Amino acid sequence: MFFGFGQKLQMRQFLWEIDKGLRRLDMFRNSAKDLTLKTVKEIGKPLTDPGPQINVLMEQFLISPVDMDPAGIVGKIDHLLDVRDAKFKEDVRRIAPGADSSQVMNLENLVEASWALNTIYRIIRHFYLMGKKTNSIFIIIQLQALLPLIIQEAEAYLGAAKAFAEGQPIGDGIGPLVASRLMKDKEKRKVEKDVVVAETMMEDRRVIALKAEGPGGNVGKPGDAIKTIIEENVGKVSMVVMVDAAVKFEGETSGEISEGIGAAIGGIGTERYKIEQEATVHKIPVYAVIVKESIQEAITPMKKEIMEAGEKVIERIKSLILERSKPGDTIIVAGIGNTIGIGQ
Amino acid sequence: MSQPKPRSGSSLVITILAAVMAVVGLYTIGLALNTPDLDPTLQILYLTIAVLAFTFVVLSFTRMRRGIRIGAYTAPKVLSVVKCGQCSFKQIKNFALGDFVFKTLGKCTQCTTGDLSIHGIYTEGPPKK
Repeated sequence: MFFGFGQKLQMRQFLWEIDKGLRRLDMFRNSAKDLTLKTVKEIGKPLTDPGPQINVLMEQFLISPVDMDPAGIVGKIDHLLDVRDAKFKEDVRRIAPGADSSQVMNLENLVEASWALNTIYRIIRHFYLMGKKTNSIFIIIQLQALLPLIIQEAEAYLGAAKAFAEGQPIGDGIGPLVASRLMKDKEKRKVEKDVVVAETMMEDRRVIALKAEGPGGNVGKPGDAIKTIIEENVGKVSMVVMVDAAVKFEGETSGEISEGIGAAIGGIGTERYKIEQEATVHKIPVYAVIVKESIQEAITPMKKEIMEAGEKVIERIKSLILERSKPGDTIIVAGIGNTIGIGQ
Repeated sequence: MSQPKPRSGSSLVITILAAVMAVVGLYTIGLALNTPDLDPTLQILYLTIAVLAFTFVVLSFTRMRRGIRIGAYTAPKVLSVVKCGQCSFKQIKNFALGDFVFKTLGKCTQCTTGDLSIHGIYTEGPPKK
């Protein structure tokens, strides 16, 4: 019996497990959607039912540009992302007319987390039904093997949705947290899109700290901001230090700090491209100080050990600028990440 | 538009199947050990069936336990650290809606001159499952 129907029995068992996982994903996406509706109603004070409009946002998509001729693709992607961001923000503002600009940012992040959960559910359901329809054990096995990781990620998105609904800082906010500590009580000004800058002195060096404007959920456009600051200083910047959260390997401790070379910034790559381009033109070294955390920790409320790593990062920046620059030099310190729940 | 929902009831079927296999295992092990003058080939066959049945039972229960361990999502407790800019006053309170890092909360109750502000917001340890 086992020789004859072993594979069929195994497939049936895998299908049961995927069923179970899919039900959890469905529960996650419904929880996130309910939370979004509840938060929009509470904060946004809409005049009509926001449900249908939120449903439309949940199904939103972005068509990436043609890459057969890759020249100029970064500009095209950047433009698309700007349009998407502006539209999303405008849509959220329309759904929640009573929300202030900071709350609109948080709601936008919340809708994005719900969108992510909805998309995960739709993709997994697609492959599950496809595997069932075609009776393909290979589709089923792959899905069953990946499902625990997908559920973990979905659970993190649900945690993120709760953090966004309440405006709590998330693990990814360690970069902005460090920058905000550097710019505390200093005069701030806004440069480029949603990025704030302040000047401070550190070990006799002029430090220009920048971060996305908080406390609303926002990552800003640090690439454009760094470019503007370098141009303002006519290229006379001796180094750029980027502080960001980075994904740790299993077995590593959360909140551990590591130092490296290059632009520490995630996302699709447009901001990194701009920083690398500008640094290359002006021959400015770019250093990275990262705080290790898991993907789940990066999008859920900030853990104590990550928050405490902030002070150690500042010490690391101090020793880095002592080693790599001279007194009187100008240094850019960029706090990269989502600044939700972090002011300046 | 209504979407097809995934089915439910998988663990109940596995539990029934595991119970049947346990009975089969006990019965065949009884046959293998208690039947007088049993043919050795038949005895090996009974023992093999018993081992297979018990393996199924053990594997299905350990698999189910792993499933239960994933558990339901519990939101972690979030705390705000309030500090005075002048004196050593420090207070840790539950996060309240509207709190953010560097939010000014008014004058310090201890020194009455310094401003109280939120120094950090964090969650402690993994959420309890």
